[in-house]
Amino acid sequence: MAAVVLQHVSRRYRETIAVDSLDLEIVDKEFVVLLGPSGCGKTTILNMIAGTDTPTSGRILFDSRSMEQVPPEKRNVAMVFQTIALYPHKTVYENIAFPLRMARLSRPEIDGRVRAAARVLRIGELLDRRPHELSGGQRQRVALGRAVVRDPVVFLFDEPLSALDAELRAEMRVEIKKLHERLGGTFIYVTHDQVEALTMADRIAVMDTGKLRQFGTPDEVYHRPANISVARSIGSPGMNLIDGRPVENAGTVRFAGLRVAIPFDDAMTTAARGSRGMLTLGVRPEALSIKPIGLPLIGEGRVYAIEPLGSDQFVHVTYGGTDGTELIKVRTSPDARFQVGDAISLHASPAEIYLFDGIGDRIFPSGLRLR
Amino acid sequence: MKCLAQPLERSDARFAFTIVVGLLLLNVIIFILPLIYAAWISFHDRDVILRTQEFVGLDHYRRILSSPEAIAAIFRSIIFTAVAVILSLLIGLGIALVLNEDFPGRPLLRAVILLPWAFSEVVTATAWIFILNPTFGALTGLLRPLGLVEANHAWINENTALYWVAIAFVWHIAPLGALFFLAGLQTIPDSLYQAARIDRAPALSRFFHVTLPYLHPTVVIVVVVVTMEAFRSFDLLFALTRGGPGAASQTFPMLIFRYTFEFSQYGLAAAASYILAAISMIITTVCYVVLMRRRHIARIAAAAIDAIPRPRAAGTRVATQP
Repeated sequence: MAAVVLQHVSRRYRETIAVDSLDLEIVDKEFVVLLGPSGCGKTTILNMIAGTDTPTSGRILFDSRSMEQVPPEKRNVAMVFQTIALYPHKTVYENIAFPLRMARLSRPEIDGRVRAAARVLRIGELLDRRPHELSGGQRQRVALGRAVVRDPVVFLFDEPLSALDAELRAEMRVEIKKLHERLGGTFIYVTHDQVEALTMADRIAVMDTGKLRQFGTPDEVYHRPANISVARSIGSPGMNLIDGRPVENAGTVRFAGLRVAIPFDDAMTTAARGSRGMLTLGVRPEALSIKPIGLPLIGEGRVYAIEPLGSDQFVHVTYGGTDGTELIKVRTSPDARFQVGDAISLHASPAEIYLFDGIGDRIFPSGLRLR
Repeated sequence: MKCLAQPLERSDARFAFTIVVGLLLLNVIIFILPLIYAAWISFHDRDVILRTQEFVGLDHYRRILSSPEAIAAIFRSIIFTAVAVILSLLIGLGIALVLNEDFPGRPLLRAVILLPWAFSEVVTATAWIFILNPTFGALTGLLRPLGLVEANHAWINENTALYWVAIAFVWHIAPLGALFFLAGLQTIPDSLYQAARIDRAPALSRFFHVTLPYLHPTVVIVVVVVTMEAFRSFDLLFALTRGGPGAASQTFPMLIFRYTFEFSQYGLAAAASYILAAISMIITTVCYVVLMRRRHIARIAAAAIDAIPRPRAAGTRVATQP
């Protein structure tokens, strides 16, 4: 197992920049999830760590050893692919045994390890089958088996669950997390699914357009998003983001019909000026409440639509001016009864309000910036 | 839009029926009837001068199968076919592997490589006449300055003629094999090669564990197609050696030609044609069945390759239990 460090890693393809000067330090035995939309460069990062792609500039280190001249077959990484990529002409047993055969282990040792891995992944009875005779979930287990059967420096996962249905995905999430506990290896896991990131990761690297937006624990990226990009990609449904203009002397910010009373310090004032007075307010649906309890964020609006989800309920509220065209989402208890058109008032505590400046960086609450 | 699952409209059904029957009729006229006529000829002895015709039953078949000349011709056909199939497989696969790599000028090279197949076999033969001419041929011209052969080296002689026509045939047919193999290679997902590299398989193992198993059906197709093409090949042989010198390159189709046009033995020629078709069918069927059943041929090859000693890669860690 190893620590994996990326130093100023960039990857360009002719005109496009897939990965832009990325710095990432992954600690030994850590489970890191690279989270981002498709095309944000996360798979490219994984391929560069595996060695099947080469950085245009920058260095990748395994335990402070540079991987620059090391081809993939010498890096000793294990990888689970989005396409699963099992060898279609080999049986499950031969698929799992393949990396061990290539490492020239003895037959009894290979046999012992393949059967041990099959037991852990509960595919013992499938060893004689071929990949086309397996279900999607079984194939994914075999792919995991092929990865865990040896003792690699780092495990790489490239959206391994994206081809599975929701139920199986939830099941495999737990499996992979258990596997990490059991093996104690360094896991680098790429996904666009924030649920996978939040449930499995020790730390999440939030990526967007080739850049690292934040690298922190699930708790940090959820509760202290460093910028709008992170705020948008974490949380379901996403954070309400509303543009507005601060009224400095009163220490109050107005956002199209919402009033937020937040004490502005000097740094915030400077940031607000720098972005020509335009700020973005962020507040999660689950931080808003409809009961009038006199908190610093206050707004009036009308119920526009109601989405009951069983365990909770999302209320879409229109607010702002007289025409009421802005929409904001509020999570309420499923028991709360509303009618479309009801006049309500919105509230949120200051601890759950975020302000972002014109370039999207968080200015309130201050502190806890990127990394 | 009409749903596809709906039954065919009556007019559609009539149209379909017309097409099918039309094609069937066409096939009967240009394919089945001549076959039946040829079979009828093969059972008769016909004298074109006296204009007599006599039923002889299976006599012609018996005569061919007991004639040393015919047996030798069949044997030559088999050698010719074997050389053609083996070389086409190797060369076709080699060309396809090169053309599957990404390099500048690849589209042009793909087109150029296919040219020999686009040429008629007679053109191929003419080209090879110029290559193999003892006096001014390209081969002599290339090798003489190197001191490898003397002037006027007779490339085509009693011992070599059959192999040279086989090689000329490979020159003509291997690009077709390459085309099949190239199509096969392009169905192999890149992620499998990536997976194999990450599983620490060196280049040769990647070829035997990923490429070859994928190409297995293509190998079967190439073997079947080239076998049939080679076994019935006539134009090239006729244009290049006319079966000579002596009977050194007289394959079975050449012999059938001579039965017909030199000896006017139509019944014999028709019987020989049926024997040729039968042998060709038996060989391709056997090839097909054996190759399709032996799915593990590639695996045995892979195991053999892996058995070649190779130093353990530096940094390979042998590990504890998963």
